[in-house]
Order: sequence, then C-alpha cells, then structure tokens
Amino acid sequence: MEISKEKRNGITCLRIEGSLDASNSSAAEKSIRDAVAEEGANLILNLSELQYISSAGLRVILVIAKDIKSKNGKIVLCSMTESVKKVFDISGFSSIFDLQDNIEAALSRF
Amino acid sequence: MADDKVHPLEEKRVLKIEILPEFSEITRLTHLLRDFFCERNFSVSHTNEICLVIEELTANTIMHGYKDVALQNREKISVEVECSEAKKVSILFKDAGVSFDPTLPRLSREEGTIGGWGLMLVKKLMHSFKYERSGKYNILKLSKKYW
Repeated sequence: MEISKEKRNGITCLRIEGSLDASNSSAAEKSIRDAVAEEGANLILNLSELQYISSAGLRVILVIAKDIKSKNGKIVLCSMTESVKKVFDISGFSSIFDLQDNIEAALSRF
Repeated sequence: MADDKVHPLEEKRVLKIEILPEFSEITRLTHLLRDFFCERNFSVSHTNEICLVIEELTANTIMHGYKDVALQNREKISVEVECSEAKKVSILFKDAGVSFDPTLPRLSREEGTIGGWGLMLVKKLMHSFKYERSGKYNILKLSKKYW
C-alpha cells in the first residue's frame, strides 16, 4: 500500500495504491490523518489504483470522515475500481459517502 | 516468520495454509491465495472476494478469538481452500480461540463504536456459512459457486 499526495485547486488529493487491509490499516490511518492535519480538512481520496479493500480499510475511511466532519471539512472519494466499489456497495458505504467517477468530478464537489 | 506450510493436494485443487495469528501474516496469506486462484483462471474480482472473506475471519480471530489468550499459547490458524472443477470454492477455517459462532445473528453495534462489518461482508459474499465447535477448535465451513 502506498499513499501519494498532491494539491489540485487547493484541495488535498491522496491516491491510495495497492491493498488497504488489516495488515496496513494503522499505517494508512496515520498517513491520512497527518495529511489532513497538515493540509486542511478538504480531502479527495483517489482510489483508481486501490485494488483491494477489507473492513479494516473501510474503518479507516470512516474514521477519517468523522475526523474531517468534526473539523467542518469535506471528503470525496473518486475513481473506484470494480472490486472496491462492490465492497462499498454491499457494506452500505456507497450510500454514506460522496463517490465520484473521476478526479475532475470530485474537484467540482468543493 | 511463520513456517511456510503450503500443501498442494489433489492435483493442486486444495491449498492448505497455516498462519500465525498476527496481522502481519495477512499479506502472506493473501499472496498465496491470489497465486492459487490466478492459476485457476479466477477473475480478480472473485479472487478479491475470497481473500476478503478469509482476511475477515482471520482478523476476527486475532482481535477477538485470541484476545484473552497469552501470545505464547496462541495456536496457528489453519485455512484450507478447495476449488472444484465446477468452480465451487470451499473454505475450511480453524482456530483455537474462545468459542464463538459467527453465523448467529449479532447484537446491534454499541453506539459510538466504529467497525463490525467484517462478518457482515462474509455472510453477504458466501452462499453457505456453517460453524461447529470441536474440542477446543472453532471450525467454519464456507462455500460459494462462481459459475
């Protein structure tokens, strides 16, 4: 799992690559929390290169979303792969997050 | 590092893995599963499903089943996966944690807590999910037909 960061129109965009599972969820949570603390609470998670997510990964995203909400910020997720979207759908997460097809659509939500 | 026990049986239709009850083992576990199902022409999506189910069961055992068991007394988790010619996948998952039947309806999540989706995902993804207690072991039998 790797997380890379860039700024687009003043919004922090984090791209998560590989797998987000129980073996790396703590490291991912810390990395994303640090980015929010440093860059502000408006965040796009670009999941175009995330091939696999388990409930440990879902938990990370929910914890971050709660943190962002407490800071009056906003989180948008974009570019999900088919496998990851399926996990979001069956867990009910698709209905509680703002999901966009691509980074441009995600940027337009701010 | 755990013993790397992989036993291809019955013309490589069965994969048997033993892992230490540690989160760091999940990466090795999923690599072995991916290799096994890739060789049998399973799609990435179906392979991810099976990896997800087994990871959730493993994480549940580590977090809850062995929670009150001293580290040195935690037995390895045994995972056996069989893929039939009819593309039916059967999973046999065995641990020596506290007795726990994950197939039973769960109590509603405590207010304010985050988590608890793992077993829900397992139930939704598999067609069959059975539990038995045999001596000191929890034994789970799961299956799903992919075609």
